[in-house]
Amino acid sequence: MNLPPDSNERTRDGAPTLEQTQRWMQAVLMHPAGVASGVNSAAAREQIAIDANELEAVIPPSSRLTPERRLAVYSNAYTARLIECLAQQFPALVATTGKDAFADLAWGYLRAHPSRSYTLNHLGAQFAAYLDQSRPADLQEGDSLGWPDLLVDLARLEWHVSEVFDGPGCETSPPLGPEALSAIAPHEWPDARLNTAPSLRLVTLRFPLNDYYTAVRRGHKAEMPKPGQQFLALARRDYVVWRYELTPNEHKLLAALAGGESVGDAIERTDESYTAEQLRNSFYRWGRWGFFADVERPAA
Amino acid sequence: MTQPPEPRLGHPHLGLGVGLRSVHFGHILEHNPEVDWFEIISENFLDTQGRPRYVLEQIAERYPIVMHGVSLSIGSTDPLDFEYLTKLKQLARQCAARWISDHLCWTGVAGLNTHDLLPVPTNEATLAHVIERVRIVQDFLERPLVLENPSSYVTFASSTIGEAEFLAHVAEEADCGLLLDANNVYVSCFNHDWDPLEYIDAIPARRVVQMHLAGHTNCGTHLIDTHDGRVIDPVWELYRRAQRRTGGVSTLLEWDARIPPFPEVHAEVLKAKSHLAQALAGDLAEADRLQTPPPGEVEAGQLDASTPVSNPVAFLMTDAS
Repeated sequence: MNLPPDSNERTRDGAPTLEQTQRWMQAVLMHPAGVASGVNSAAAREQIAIDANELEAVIPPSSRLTPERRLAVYSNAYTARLIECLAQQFPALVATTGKDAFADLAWGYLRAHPSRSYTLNHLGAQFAAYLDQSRPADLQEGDSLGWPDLLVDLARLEWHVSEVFDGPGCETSPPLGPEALSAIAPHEWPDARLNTAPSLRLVTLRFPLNDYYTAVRRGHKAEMPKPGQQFLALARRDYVVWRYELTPNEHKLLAALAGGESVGDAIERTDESYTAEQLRNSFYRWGRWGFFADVERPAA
Repeated sequence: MTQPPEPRLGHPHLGLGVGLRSVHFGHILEHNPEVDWFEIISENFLDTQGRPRYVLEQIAERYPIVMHGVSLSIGSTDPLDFEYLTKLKQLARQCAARWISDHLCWTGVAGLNTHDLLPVPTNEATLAHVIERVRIVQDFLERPLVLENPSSYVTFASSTIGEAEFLAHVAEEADCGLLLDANNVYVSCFNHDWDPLEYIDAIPARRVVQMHLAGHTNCGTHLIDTHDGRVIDPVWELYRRAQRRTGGVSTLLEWDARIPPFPEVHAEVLKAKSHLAQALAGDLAEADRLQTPPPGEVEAGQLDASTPVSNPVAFLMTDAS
């Protein structure tokens, strides 16, 4: 075994230290081209400078397997396990791309964003951004939206659903229902601030994916939507994530309320097509759907 | 240690339990099955404020809970993650965990997590490193840690101590408990040409707080701990031998891939009742080799020519669907 130039960290008997062994093994098993390439990689050789044909110096063979095949059990499992994890976090994306194409995308992502968390629940956090940044240049058709954009939006939607599923909710402290909203006196409304429920998430999509997402999650075939803006509100009730389509005015109003603006100021953000009756209906529905945690009334 | 520890470090013998998996949440809440206890994968409940946490609260009101972790990385040379440990401690308090276990392994270095249970070279340097970290973790958690023997697929040229002896030293010197996984003993011993009976006999029985059972996959040249099937006879044989030595400890079945309906999983762990009775009756012959031939000759877990994966995803995360 050749020791690296600055090998004074070695143990007395010349064996690699625990840290060198672990950094070497991790570099080997995470290498995208497999064990032999991993052993020969600079990252591995920086820790233990051996070639693939010298593996027995670190990993002895068993009676049935060479060191390379023994290490490959870990190497294969690393890839398969984490791709499967992402597939579970993005089931609609898998249904849209097909398993093989998804595995290619996932593997590229894992190489760019290896897990740094104690939990796999965070593994897909950067997946949508990765898809957005790594889109193939030849699929970019000027400024028009295409297939990669749809995948990015679908990944974003799925991740939002996961976050709402696991995030804070109102299950133990009931949100404001329609009755509580109607108890706010008319003169209090303009200056009142409605604090949105902790689970409420507003999502703007460049494709109307809501029905498509529902269909593929149910295992149905669905036609891929054409570009078109869609506004969604995600909220959790009784530990179930619900998706609601919003009009542009509803989206503006809710976004302003979520940003801490008073009801009066938030309504100013909407356009004239939003009638008073529509406004009342919106608040009634949002009360039923649990969009508001509580109200701050103006000081008397 | 001048005094031998109490059996199971004083922990109760909880009986026969099942690993809590999200596919069974609905069944358990609806039917209240007569399971003695449940083991949770700690990481699946540390951060969620949604349904998994709600389900855990419901189940913890009705059944004893044990926390089993996969990310402690006690053998890693990276610093211990005290944010993780803080959350672990909080969760243990919230679900009244009877004990907290994890594996003799490392999961990553340089800030990365491979989400695998990787083996350590078993030598004096690693021993000192692991003992020191177990002591720190126990001081922080204010309770003994329970460490499991992992399934493994490589050994190291730098190892100088047998794995069972290594675990025995860790347990005695750090004053921690052991979770003896009979299937892992079988898998690792097959993969490394070790004697599984010698392995079992080298484990200090009074330190064993719990046992694990599971199925594995036979790849012909090696076995993989896939948790995807029934417990095979040689593993039951190891289980009986170990339980005769322990005098009887809590037993848990893990089933994490191709998971059948809950009653089937439960029925599998209930088989341990007769094996345990047989072991405790003391009418077992002291074999010097496994009575059941090794895999590849007659019986083994699922024979699989594909690429099976150890520690399947269902073991490591909850399903958000």
